[in-house]
Amino acid sequence: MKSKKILYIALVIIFIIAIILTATIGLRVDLNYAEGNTITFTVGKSITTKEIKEIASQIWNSKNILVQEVELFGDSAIIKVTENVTDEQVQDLCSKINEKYGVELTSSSFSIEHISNVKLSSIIEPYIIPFGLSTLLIVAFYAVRYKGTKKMVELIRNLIISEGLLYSIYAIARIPVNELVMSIALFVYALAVFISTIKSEMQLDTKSAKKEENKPE
Amino acid sequence: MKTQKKLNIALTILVIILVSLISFVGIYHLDKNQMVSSLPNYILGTDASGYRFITLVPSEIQTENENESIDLGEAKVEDNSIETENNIENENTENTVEDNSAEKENEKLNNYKKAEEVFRARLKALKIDDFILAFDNKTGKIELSLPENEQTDIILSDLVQKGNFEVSDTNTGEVLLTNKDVKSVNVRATDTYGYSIVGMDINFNLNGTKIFKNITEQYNSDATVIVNAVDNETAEDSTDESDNNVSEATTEENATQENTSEENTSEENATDENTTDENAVDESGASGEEVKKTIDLKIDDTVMLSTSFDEVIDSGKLELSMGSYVDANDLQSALYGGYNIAAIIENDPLPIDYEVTGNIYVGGRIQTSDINTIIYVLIGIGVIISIAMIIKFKMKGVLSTILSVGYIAVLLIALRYTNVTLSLEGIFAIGFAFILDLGFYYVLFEKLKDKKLTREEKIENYDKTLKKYCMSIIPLIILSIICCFINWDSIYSFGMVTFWAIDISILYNLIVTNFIIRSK
Repeated sequence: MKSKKILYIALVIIFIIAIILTATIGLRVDLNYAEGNTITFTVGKSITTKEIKEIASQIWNSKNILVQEVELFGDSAIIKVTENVTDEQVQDLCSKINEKYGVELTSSSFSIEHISNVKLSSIIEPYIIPFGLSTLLIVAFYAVRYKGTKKMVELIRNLIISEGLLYSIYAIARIPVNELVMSIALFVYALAVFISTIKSEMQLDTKSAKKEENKPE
Repeated sequence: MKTQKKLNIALTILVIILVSLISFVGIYHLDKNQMVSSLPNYILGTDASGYRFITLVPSEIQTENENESIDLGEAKVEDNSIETENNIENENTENTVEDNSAEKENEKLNNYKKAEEVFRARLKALKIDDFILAFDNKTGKIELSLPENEQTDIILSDLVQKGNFEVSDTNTGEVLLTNKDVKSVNVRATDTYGYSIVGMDINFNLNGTKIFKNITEQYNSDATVIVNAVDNETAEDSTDESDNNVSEATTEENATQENTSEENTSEENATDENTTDENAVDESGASGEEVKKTIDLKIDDTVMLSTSFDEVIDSGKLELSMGSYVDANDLQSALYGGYNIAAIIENDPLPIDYEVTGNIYVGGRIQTSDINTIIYVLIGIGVIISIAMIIKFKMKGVLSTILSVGYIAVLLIALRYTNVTLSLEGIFAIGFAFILDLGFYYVLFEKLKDKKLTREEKIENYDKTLKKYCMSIIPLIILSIICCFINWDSIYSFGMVTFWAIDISILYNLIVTNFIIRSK
């Protein structure tokens, strides 16, 4: 009982730290969702994103580069970087690509564009209805199946703890928020629901077995 | 007895290995000197397969206008400063300039914000939930990521339309209804004897319904109006703009009515209350022309339709026919076009003009190597759980791992044949399915660990565990069904994979696990 209390206090402290960090410095965002600059170009020869990333890594910090294919012909790419793109860097990129693929691109072949950041709320928003509605219906199922509010409260507590911990890990460990975050959140949600339900079913089983034992012969 | 059981288990394991090989490696056949997989390929979601990246910026015309208006504003301020030079000090003038430019800047930023909201509302009205919109509130620039499908280009063709919807008098141009009076717009297709009719229902709000009722009273099919020569020309011009047959018919009727005598027309005009339109009265006393009283439905001053009404409509619903189609592709395109118009009409117009400056197809944000990493991590987690099961249950732990691998193999084959889109969430759902199945074996073998149990007791425990398992996955069925109804690629994928995972898990345990437990 005492260890449980300590655990809850520790969890509350972790959540508060995560909330304070989010409110003050915000969550760390992955390059996909962050503000940055893109450089789009067509080489005219078959290229791979891996090759382009290698070239780009020589010019910019390799951790902050995102390379994606453009169109379906396999000869165009888009590079996204968080830093400002200078003319020298474009010239450098141009000469490196020319050298690698034996083409004669010029600086004007590279289109540079500033890209705004994506609001994290717009990524979370689509998940609110399925999460909310599912929780509501699952809680209703708990009310019918396990009779009473105890199991319902337990389920909600487990969901808050599991999702809260996930959020805290992202906020405190400064893990970049990327496409994976909502997939993991869904995974954790489903796992928390499954474990809570199977635990409740087992307890229900034990309870009915005890009742059977106590029944006068 | 025991040999038979061992044989049964060995046979089951062999079948599982065979199914796993088919699922994980595939079956190939020779087709045109190439080895082609006999199994359908996985369908990857937007995050892995790619998406359309569109850049929208406030149009140059708008920027020029803004520059002009700013110049004008400055000019006005300059004039004012000349006028007040004698009375007011220069400092005050500078303050006014700053105030004006600040106000304009504020208005510009508000317009950008409003435009972003309109774009979001239009996409939601088009039931495109699966989009990512990045907005620069200083420049108004919008970067939009849309899923790539047959609707993408059709959406783009109308997305940047300003969207000023108006119902106006054909002859006078008087605006009767606008976007603000519209509650919702439905587009429907009705099948009739081998072809489909596409229709659009514009539902007006309370205020719009009242106005629309008055319109249907005033603009009935018998109502006519006298217009002077200039007005008539304008009416004809506007009619020419429309491609609609109704407006052509109206023009023809106008032509036939040209022979009507002036006196008769004047008399009719005097007697018919519907035709008494102040604008139609020839103020100069010159001869007018009698034309049908019709309304125009316009979007951004382009006439979509000119019509009149046969009866009074008080339901607040304007039903329009958008054409009939035999070919399924044409019908689909017409429906998509209809949805676009509906999204424009039922939302506010854009406060400023926008234009598409970038429209490229970009490969998936998640590279194949990233997907492989995720799969390896999930396999790693599975291996750890399996080792824990083996340590706890020894041989039964090994059996549970083999059975779970077989289950995943069957699930993957099912996902290929059911054309389920696999996004990242879907891949995670497969990992979850593995844990789900191992959870069942954990509970089952926990109940079967007593070596003294008889065969009947084992079967009874298996039945009880399966029953408990089915009860435990009801919340997951709820979650999966809700996710299946969400129009977001990732959530839908998670829902579909979980749904199939649950179904196959029950069937698999009813057939395979049941066979092993009941083996003598």
